[in-house]
Amino acid sequence: MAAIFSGAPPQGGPGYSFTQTPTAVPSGERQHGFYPYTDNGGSTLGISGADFTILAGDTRSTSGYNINTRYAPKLFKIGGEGPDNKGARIVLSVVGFAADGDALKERLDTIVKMYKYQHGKPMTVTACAQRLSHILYNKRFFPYYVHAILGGLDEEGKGALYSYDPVGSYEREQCRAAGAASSLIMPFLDNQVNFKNQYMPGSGTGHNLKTKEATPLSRGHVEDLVRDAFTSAVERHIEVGDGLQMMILTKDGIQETYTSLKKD
Amino acid sequence: MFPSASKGAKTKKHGVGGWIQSICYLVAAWLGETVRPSFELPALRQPPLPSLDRGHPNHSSSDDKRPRPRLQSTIPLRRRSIARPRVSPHKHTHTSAPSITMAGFDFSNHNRNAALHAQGVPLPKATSTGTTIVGCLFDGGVVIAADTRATSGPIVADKNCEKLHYIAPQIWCAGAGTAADTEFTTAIISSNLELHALSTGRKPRVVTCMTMLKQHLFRYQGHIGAYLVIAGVDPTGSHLFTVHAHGSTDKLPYVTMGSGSLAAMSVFETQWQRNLSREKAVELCAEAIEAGIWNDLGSGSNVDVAVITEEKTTLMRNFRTPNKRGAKARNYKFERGTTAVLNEKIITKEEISKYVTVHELQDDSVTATAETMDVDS
Repeated sequence: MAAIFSGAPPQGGPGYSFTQTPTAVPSGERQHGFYPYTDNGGSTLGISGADFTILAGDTRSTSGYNINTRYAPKLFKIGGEGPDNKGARIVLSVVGFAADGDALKERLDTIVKMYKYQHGKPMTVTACAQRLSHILYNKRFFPYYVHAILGGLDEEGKGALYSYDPVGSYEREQCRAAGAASSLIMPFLDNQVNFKNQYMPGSGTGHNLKTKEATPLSRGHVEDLVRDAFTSAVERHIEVGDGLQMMILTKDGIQETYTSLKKD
Repeated sequence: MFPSASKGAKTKKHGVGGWIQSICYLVAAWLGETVRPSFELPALRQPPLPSLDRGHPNHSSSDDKRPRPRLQSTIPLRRRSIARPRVSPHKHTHTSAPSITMAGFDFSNHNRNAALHAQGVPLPKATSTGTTIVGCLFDGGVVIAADTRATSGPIVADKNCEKLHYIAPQIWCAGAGTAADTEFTTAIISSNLELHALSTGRKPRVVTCMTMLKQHLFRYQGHIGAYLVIAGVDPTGSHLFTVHAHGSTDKLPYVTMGSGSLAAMSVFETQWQRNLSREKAVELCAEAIEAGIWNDLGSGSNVDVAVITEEKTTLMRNFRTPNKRGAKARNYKFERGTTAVLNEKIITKEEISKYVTVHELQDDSVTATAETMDVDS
């Protein structure tokens, strides 16, 4: 009995995060619908530094008010050797519809591996970034329902970070938050990474006040920012939690870490 | 009347609240403090009850230290509807209703809102307590428990809200569903039950409370989204009920409700047994709530428990706190002067004294008492 009036969103249909309210036709006809997408919640985030890039994502997978699993990685190594991607130099993070995220990762991984077989050299991040954009736009009218972030080091060894919309529009950025809690995390990043709305104290009066210029942050500093961004997002977003997966890309390769988050 | 006298009276009538506030700000500004308007709505809490044992020491901590809510608020008062039949907006009960203010809900915006919604304007989002609430009878009383998360869509609106509502000294209610509906329905039934107890000269009964709630909710055909667990002890014994928003009720030895009801019920169905002791019942209820906290996204944070026996009610606010926030990795204190200020003006105490009376505050920790309200002692 209690289950009938639980107040939870309908389990059959898509999660409430997608604004797809079933349309009732005024004339009273029956309207059939096909909703192939679901929202699996969670959040990802990427920050690039002078000689490193950090990608992070929580490991919770949800549908409605349920938790599918407390450990579903959103970060994937791309390229390298074999199924474990040994020696990979590129990381893809995907958030949104997890099935599409998986399919997208598989496709990109295969392409990057095939590139090395055919050309005898690993694919650069720049090339991989553009290829990913094309993969996404190829499905312009039945998109991969994901917000992707691609990270690596560019030809000069600088941290490279690319973010995508579901249909392939992409841009190289310093930092980006995506997914359920992106609107909670992104303003924090703007302020703490690019020093938005911060001014140099005593540098002038009124409009002559000098803005605080963005300077490259150290790796430890960025890791702390990522941790704080996620522990805070967990406090206020119900779909974020359980665990934090981080991948740190440097010239020495990819270092992967896992820290637990609140599980309520 | 003397002109000066009437002038004085006028000032007092219109400007006292605003004045006091400005004085507070100006004094604060003069002291070099950040001037921050703090409008708070008067709290809905009821006064402490005689037979209520607050059990846990940190129950009244945060609430009591807060400054008293100011008497005025920025929320405009909504005008009551006139000449509208109370029962149903669809039916014509009277052809010419008398032009008086009727009690009950105000439906005057219904047609406008329906038209707006048809044009695609989204409906306002209510805070829902996508909740886990449970109750369990034991030998000599009854326990109810709730989690403390309130959500608005996927956002946590309140991390430590109270879902255990007072109805009568020995009758308490746990609420799930729309937060406002659970608060107001329990408050109105609490009020009516008190009047009923006063007129009959007897302790209120739990069945009476349950009947009043179901009749109230049935009348509104489920539009009042209150899902309640009612528990209490009266001269006829200990009782436990659930009431659904449409008006149906259940009477069971252990109950769960809200979005976490399945998780909580799984605990009851595996661990519940007949003739539980008080301690066992409290632990079982807390375990059931925790199942909701971990496995239901609509529930979270802490466990609140209330134990009602023949002698007294013990409210154990934050009985369990399994979700304490850890320390942040970095310190986010900004250097003074980081925020841009276009211009700044300092009003001295002497200057402002020309217009208002300035009182020196002795203790910095005590906020100014602008106006004291007369309260029956």
